[in-house]
Amino acid sequence: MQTGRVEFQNITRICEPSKYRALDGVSAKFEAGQIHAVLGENGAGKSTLMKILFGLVRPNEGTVHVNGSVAKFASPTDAIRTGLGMVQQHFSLVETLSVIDNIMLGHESTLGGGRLDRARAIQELEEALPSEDLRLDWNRLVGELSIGEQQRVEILKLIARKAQILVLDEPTAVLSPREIESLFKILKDLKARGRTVFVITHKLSEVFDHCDTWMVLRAGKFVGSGEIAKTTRSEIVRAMVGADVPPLADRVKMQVDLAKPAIRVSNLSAETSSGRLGALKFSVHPGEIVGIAGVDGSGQTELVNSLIGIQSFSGEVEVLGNRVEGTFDETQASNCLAGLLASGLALVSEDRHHQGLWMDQSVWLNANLGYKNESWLHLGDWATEAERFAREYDVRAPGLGTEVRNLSGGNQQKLIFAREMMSRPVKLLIAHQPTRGVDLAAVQLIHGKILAARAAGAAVLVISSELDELFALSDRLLVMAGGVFSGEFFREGGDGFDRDRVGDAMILGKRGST
Amino acid sequence: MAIRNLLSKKGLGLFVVAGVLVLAAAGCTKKSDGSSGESSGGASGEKANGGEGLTIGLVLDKGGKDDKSFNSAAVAGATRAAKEFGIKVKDVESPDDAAFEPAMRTFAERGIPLVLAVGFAQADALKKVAPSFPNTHFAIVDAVVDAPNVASLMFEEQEGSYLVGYLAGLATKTGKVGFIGGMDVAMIRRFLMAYEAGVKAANPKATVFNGFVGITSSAWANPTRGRELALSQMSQGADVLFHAAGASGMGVFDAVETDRKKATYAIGVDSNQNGIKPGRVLTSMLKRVDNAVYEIIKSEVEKKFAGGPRSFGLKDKGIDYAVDDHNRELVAPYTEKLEKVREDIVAGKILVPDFYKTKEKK
Amino acid sequence: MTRLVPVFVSILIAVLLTSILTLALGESPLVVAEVLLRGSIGTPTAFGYTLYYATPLIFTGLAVAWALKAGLFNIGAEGQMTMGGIAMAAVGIVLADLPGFIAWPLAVFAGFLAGAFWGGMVAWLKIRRGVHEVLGSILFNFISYGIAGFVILDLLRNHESQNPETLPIGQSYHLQALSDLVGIGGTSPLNTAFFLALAVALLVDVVLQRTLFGLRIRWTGGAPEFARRSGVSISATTLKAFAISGGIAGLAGASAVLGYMHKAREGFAAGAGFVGIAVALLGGARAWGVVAAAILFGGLQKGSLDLDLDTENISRDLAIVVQALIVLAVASRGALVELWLLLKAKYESSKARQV
Repeated sequence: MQTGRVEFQNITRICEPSKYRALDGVSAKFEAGQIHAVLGENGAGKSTLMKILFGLVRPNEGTVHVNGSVAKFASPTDAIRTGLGMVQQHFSLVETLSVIDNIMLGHESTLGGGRLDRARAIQELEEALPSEDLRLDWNRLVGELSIGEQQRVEILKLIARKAQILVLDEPTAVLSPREIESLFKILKDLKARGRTVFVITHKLSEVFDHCDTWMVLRAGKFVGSGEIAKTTRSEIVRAMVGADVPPLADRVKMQVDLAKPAIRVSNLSAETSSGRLGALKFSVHPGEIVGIAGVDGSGQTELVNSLIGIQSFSGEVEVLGNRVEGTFDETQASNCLAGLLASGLALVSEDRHHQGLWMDQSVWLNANLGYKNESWLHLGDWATEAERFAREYDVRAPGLGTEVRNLSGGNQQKLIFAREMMSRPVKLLIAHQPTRGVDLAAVQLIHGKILAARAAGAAVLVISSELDELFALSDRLLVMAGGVFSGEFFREGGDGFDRDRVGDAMILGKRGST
Repeated sequence: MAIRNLLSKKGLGLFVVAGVLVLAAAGCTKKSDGSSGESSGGASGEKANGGEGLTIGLVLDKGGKDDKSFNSAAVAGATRAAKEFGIKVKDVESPDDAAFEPAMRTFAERGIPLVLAVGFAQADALKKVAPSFPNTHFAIVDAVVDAPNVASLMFEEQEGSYLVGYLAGLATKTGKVGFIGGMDVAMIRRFLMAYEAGVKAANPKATVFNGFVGITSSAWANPTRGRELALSQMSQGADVLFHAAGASGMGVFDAVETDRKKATYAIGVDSNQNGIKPGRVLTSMLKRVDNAVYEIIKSEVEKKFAGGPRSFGLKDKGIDYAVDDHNRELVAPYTEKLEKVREDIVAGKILVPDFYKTKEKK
Repeated sequence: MTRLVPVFVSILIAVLLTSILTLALGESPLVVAEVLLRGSIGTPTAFGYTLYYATPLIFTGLAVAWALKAGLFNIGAEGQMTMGGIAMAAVGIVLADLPGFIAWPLAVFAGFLAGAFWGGMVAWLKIRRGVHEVLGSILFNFISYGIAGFVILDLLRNHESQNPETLPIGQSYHLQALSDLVGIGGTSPLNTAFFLALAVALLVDVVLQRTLFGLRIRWTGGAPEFARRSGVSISATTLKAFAISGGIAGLAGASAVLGYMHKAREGFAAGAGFVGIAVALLGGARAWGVVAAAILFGGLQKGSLDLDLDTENISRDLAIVVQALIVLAVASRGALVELWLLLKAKYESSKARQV
């Protein structure tokens, strides 16, 4: 039985009302029983293409063939019946139900009187289990599981529905390196059982380590595809960004001034609804880039919020010579933060849509928000300023009056960096997830600017869940896990940055065994 | 969390939309009520241009013509006159205090010879309008506006209150009676003062409890509070309760009905309320706004309109007490004495205290 | 300009629906339209009344719009207007003999302060105790009715009058009727409070668009997390924004109290605070949009008075229906746009299939 072959023929999808072509005549062929990487920058059309396969979105033109016949799915239910399944970026699980109940949900087998036949469901599942790594305690509540385990429940749901073709949308974004390894082992087991797997991603290293074929979309158009074994990394990168990526600026040797740290933290503890921090102690000095690694939710957000004084904490925090109080008084906290910004703090927050931009407003307004102190606004100057920022940081917008919500993620992030770095002399940059979901060209530009700031003598703190990014930028790397530092690594001296050992540190704290 | 979401802006938007929907629905239903009321009101089709037939203008108070009391009575009187004299009546409901004036002016500008303002709230507006239209006749109910072309229709509420008070004094077995007023205003104090006097005249040892529903105009429409006040007076022994509380009075009737021994009675007000709880309503003090309106229209038709205050009392049946099949037997034992008192008041032998006049002395 | 199109379309839809309703009730929509137009703008007096009715709506609409800009929903304009009106009357009665040039500005200022205090309390509860401003402002509406009752019916009551109203305010507090002053508005009670409303609209527009203070208010409303992370105090901005919103609503009573009745009568707010919400929504929360919407609503209110007179089956309540329909149509304009696009896409794909 040969199942799982997928072919796209001339798929076009036009978004209303903007007439934007999310997909433009995409044709591609995928063999069964392989792991296919679907690559592309954000907004290149990867997710849209997979949603069309799955019946979530309908194409304006073109057809999808599954196993050689035209597939026209009216709905995801239709697609599931034909053997397709998709794991979305955001899981759709009921946290208060057990694993097996979540798996049964929607196609329950029942005993008399409507009672659930869990035993039968478990038996069926065990028989179909393609990989021992997928085994979980069937009776645990989903809410108690880790993110990686929850992802396995999503995959199990597809197995239980006898899916032959599995689509995973950015499956590794939320996982630690160890969990990523384990996920791909599962995917390989699935492949071994003859199933076809699509992985939507923009992380090249995963593609090279685990996938069989690649396909790149750029701006809705098919750019290229091939077998991983016959391709080099730079070929794919070129396909993704359309040109050779400029090499990173050379890392200048800096004399780090240890006497005057830009950030000095000791005994920082905090307890919030989202997490806790335990007695952190570290400092960041002018001329160095300190990276903070860790799985999302290990206390990074609480740390940044403490540094800028917008949450309560205990311990001593000193930023650019200002003492930061862990106060409950919101007005006092705002004054403190305003003082930090005025004395040379550049802040790039984690969530650019909410914390870094005013999405309904123009590029020029966003470029000027925050640091202007004139009571009567000189809007003419603002436009000039915005133009300068956009030029320097290559912010591409149809016009300065464009609402930032209509910019791509990369351009939004570049605009934030431009504003934070160019509006005042920067002595300290705190950048939280500086390039999350940003296209490669923008990543390169932003990384270049961060290194330039270091070269100019600024202190830099980069918090990221992308190890590649941290390895590229940091002079020193702190690993956070469960609200504490679980490791410290140095670019020079010691063992350098070792992926496995950093990965171990990220997991260690998570299990709570320091 | 759910509540938080509900109160988020999107949720609020939904609330607003829902609220507006309800409003729209309310508007629609009310409208159809109004339209049916008007067609049965006998005002015929043509525009009010003061052509061949005489047209009378009626400016109603905020309660509107379906308030089952004051405004309804005025409309009823006007309708009766319309049928009898073959004239037309046009009415306008005022949504707010600022609307009285334009309504009066519109009528006057269209050449309508007589404009009736129903309710004391319109006094200020009429004071401004009347001098601008010296050739138009105006009349106002329950207030005095001093202008040659304005007839002020006043009621001697104290006469009726005294009379029903006298009846209460005769009828009480416990020697305790009650009074429930609506909004605490001078007019209702006038009811109370005369009522007390009437009770004492019949039964000098009797106790009179009194209570007011409130001090705002919502006091006219709070039957729950009316019921509470009545129950509390009943618990202190009152067995006859007179209300002058508009729609809040409905609560008084409900309270009286709770007496299982059927030994407690209510007295209604303004219109004949005997039928609301048959057998439990001793009588109703009638304030014949309809008669007053009818009379003034009649005088206009007969070209006998005269400005200045006109008072309606027991003498001309502008004030009365209601006797019908529901209470004939209840009042029968006292009818003789009551009629005597009525004659004495009309003849001036009994001087009923008037709250308005005592205040002037102060 | 393009942002106005959906508003006009919404009004058009409301007119269409109203016409159907009118026909169903057996009246010609044209006659109704004629009555409404004549009654609202047909004569100088009629237009004067339209503007008179619009005046408090401009204030309350601006108040609601201002709060919306800060991301706050002020449904307490009714209570703030009540408090403001009471304060104006109280100043006008207690200090009845002040000279004219200081008297009415003082009363207006008192009205602003009282409204601002009332709004500020709601904001304070929100900031300190986490009471949602919707809940707070509703509750404060009720408290204000109680206080108004106490002041009007007890403290400053005019015992000479049957009406539930205060003593008259001093002569020097009277806002001039525009008919006396510049000869417009016929015999309507339109007074200089209307110009005050326009001035406040201008001020609101300028402050919001051109000053740092206004920008910060819009910023906290539009992107609160971003503002907070730029050193803007959300609670301080909320407090100021809501207090000023309350202050603007507090001025709404000026037209009736200082300009027409020359006293505060119970219930003088007459729902203007709530209609102000609809006005703000229709006006797209922009100052001049609010003025236009208020005049539209004022015109409906005035024009509809004549419906009782000039039609058989339609009463003034039609105005409420029309107002509700307009707001509904505006509120659902996003859905309308989507519906339109969907229909268009369907039509185009069916056409493509035929070819």
